[in-house]
Amino acid sequence: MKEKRRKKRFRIAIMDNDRQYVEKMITSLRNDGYHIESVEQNRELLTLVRNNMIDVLIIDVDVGVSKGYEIISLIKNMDRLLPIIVTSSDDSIEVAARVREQGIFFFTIKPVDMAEIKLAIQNALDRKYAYQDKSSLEGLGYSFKEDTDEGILEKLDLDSIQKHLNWIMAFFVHECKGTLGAVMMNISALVDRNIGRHIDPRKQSKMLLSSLCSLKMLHDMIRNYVISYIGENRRLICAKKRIDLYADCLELVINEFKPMLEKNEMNISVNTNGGCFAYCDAELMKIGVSNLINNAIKYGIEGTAIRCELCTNGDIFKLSVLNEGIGVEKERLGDIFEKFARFDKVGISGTGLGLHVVKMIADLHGGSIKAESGYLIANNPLTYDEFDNNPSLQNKKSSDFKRYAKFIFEIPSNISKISGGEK
Amino acid sequence: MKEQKIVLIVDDDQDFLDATKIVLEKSGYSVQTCLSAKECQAKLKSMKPDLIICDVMMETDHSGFDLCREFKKATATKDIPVLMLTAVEQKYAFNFSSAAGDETWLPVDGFIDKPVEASVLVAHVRKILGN
Repeated sequence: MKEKRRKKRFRIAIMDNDRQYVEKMITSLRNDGYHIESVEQNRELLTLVRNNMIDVLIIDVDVGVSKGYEIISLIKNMDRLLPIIVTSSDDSIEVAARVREQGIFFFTIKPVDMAEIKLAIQNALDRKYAYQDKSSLEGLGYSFKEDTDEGILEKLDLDSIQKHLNWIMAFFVHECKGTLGAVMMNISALVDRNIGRHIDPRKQSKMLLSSLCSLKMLHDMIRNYVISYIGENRRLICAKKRIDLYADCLELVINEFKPMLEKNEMNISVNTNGGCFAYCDAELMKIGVSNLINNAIKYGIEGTAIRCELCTNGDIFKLSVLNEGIGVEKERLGDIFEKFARFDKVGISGTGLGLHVVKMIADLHGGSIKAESGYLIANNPLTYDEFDNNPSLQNKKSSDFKRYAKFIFEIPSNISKISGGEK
Repeated sequence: MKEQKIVLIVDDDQDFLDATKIVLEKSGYSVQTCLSAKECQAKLKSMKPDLIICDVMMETDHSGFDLCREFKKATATKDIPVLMLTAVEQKYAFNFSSAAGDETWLPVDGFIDKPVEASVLVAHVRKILGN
């Protein structure tokens, strides 16, 4: 009875055209305490997977509009950790090889041995929950699993996964607690009778401003962690509508950063040719733009201006953000959008997820993000290659010039959808 | 007039350095700050603080420990007490003992977990340096 109660929370979906076999499976597995559901349509199955409503899937490879192994590929993209048990009446080597290519949990030829299927289900659940039940924080760590074709479970042993998750947790805790360090010190000093009353009002204002900026940083770090987690699990919803990318996005984001700009004595200049409408997700766009501006402030030099350019040629919307600062090393331009990538961690807090999230948002919109860096020559940006190949600069030392970093974010405007009434 | 005790703070977070400097100065100490282990090494050539407060994770995950081991080896700095700031403690899966290099000896006189309140930090400093 106890065993039955323990199993009841597990949900199994079965997709097979053989009604008799399905009925037999349902009866037997229900008797064992599982919640089992028969699915007939691909769409229905994908909805269950998308909404995280099943723990194990049993699928016959010859079902559905498309072949079973085609839908397995889609499911794997949506939830790589979902154990899939595959059955087939075809005992050819070709089918077996093709099914196994999908990284499924267990494959068996019909007629199935019920005891064997039950053991496979139990093993699949044990394996899935051996990882997921450890702790909710470690569960969050799945968002950062290595991107391998076969999935992390096949590639890494438990110790490696444990070390990986511990590292992520320690890193994230360090960045959050470190950022809170300045806030706690400032606020506790201001409210402390022995210390606060000796601090002059101008310094008090600066301490409050600094605390506000640290809290904004902390907010953005947590948001990026959550967005990255949802995105890695392919569950980031992109609700597109027509927006004005200046008034509904960039202007609002710049307002959010006013305290940080004031603290760093920076300002933002915006150059736009106007009418920057696009068909996109307004909230995701604000997050993407916010990460680009945050990055430019963090790595920019105090007292300088951040240059934003917003333009559209009708088909493509383009936003570029340039800051004067430490720039990005030429060899790192390609991997700066990877998870946990940082230009230079000394003195700058952050989890290194901001640009990764920007890339995720660009990808969701069918767009792109690229990084550019080089030197500012008479206030004009020249990439490293342009600098090296410029004859008039051949006798100049690169160290004599200030560096810049520039990020160029492009998405299709999808004007046809705007004028087509999908507003 | 009694000479002010000097506290040197090493941390890669400029905001934390600014806030802590104000707190310790208002509590009667003279404060110097460094953003990195390298900057600290350079500064120690020209000054001798009465206390060093050092963050664990800066350029690397254990650069604070590396720096402290150097303090304890060098004749000029081996007697300077050190308070270690940590934003990740052992509870959060970070193994200090192995990071410190010697499981039986940590080269510091005390640990302070970040975030820390101003009054708690001042109490730690007073315990070592006196009022």
